[in-house]
Amino acid sequence: MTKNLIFERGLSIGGESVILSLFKTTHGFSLQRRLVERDQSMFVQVLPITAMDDLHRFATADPYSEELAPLYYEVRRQLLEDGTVE
Amino acid sequence: MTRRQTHPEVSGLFEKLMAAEDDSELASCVKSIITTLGAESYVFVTLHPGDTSASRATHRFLIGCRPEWCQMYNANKWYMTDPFLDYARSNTAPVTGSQIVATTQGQREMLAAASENGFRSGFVVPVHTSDTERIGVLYIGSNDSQAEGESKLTAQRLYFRSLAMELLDWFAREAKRELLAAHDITDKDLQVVSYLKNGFTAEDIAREMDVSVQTIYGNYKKLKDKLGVTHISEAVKFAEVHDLLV
Repeated sequence: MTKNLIFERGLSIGGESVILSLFKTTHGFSLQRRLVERDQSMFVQVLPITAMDDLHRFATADPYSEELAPLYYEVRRQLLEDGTVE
Repeated sequence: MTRRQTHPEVSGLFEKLMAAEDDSELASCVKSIITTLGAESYVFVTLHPGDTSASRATHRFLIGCRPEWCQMYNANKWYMTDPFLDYARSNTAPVTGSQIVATTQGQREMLAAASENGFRSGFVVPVHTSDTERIGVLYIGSNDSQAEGESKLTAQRLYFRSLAMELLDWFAREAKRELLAAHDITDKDLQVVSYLKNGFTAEDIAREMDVSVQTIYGNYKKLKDKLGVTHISEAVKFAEVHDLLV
């Protein structure tokens, strides 16, 4: 399996943690958003990114969009730097 | 008797999906399959309620729909009241959206939001692993009217069911691979645990593996250290809970 972690950062927000992980794969990128709740249960969303708009819409709709803005900005920067996602 | 339309290209897509190397490739295959079968959106959720480790992924969502929908679903914690998830916990027969009746205001709000986000008509396929510890739910959506969409999606029931099963298998394999790598668990470790699960003593295992009993006790210790447990029976339990012995 060729899946490389190229960015990972998390934040604690109101007793919960949200971690964004960007993976580069053979076939593109996928963003993993992990929400760890107070009781340690974890909810993982896997968003395959085929266009920058996928990320923009996901980030804008994030209930913690304000708090996570710097992290999403960094994810976007990584994608732009790679240049393969439009 | 109605003649069912066949999709020769779907077979090729299924083969590609089964060999998908990562979730990007997997998602691309799923999208191609559901589009070919007349749907537009999907979400595949895996649940592993039996996992009691510290940081457990109780729900994992592969997103093949409007990203806004998945964020809304999580923000509202609809996974706690989703009537389709409730249904999936104890059923394996696929259902259409109209077959599940919302009984609370929260559920009605969830279904109304789903309808506005690519799931105006829907088909839901629950799948379970053999020990029922791991559950998968494939939500298929279309923007066709409920009557038209459900009829179209129901006609592809066999394909959607196969798709859900393959997805659950794929995620189970991936979870196992990640876990083995994270704890540095070897094939030999699994072999020892498998013997233990079947009631073998250290002496029995040593005989089967043609090594000394001391070597087996050494294996026990290494494995306990890797998993951070104090008794070898906990390692067996860990392997069972995470489907490592299949």
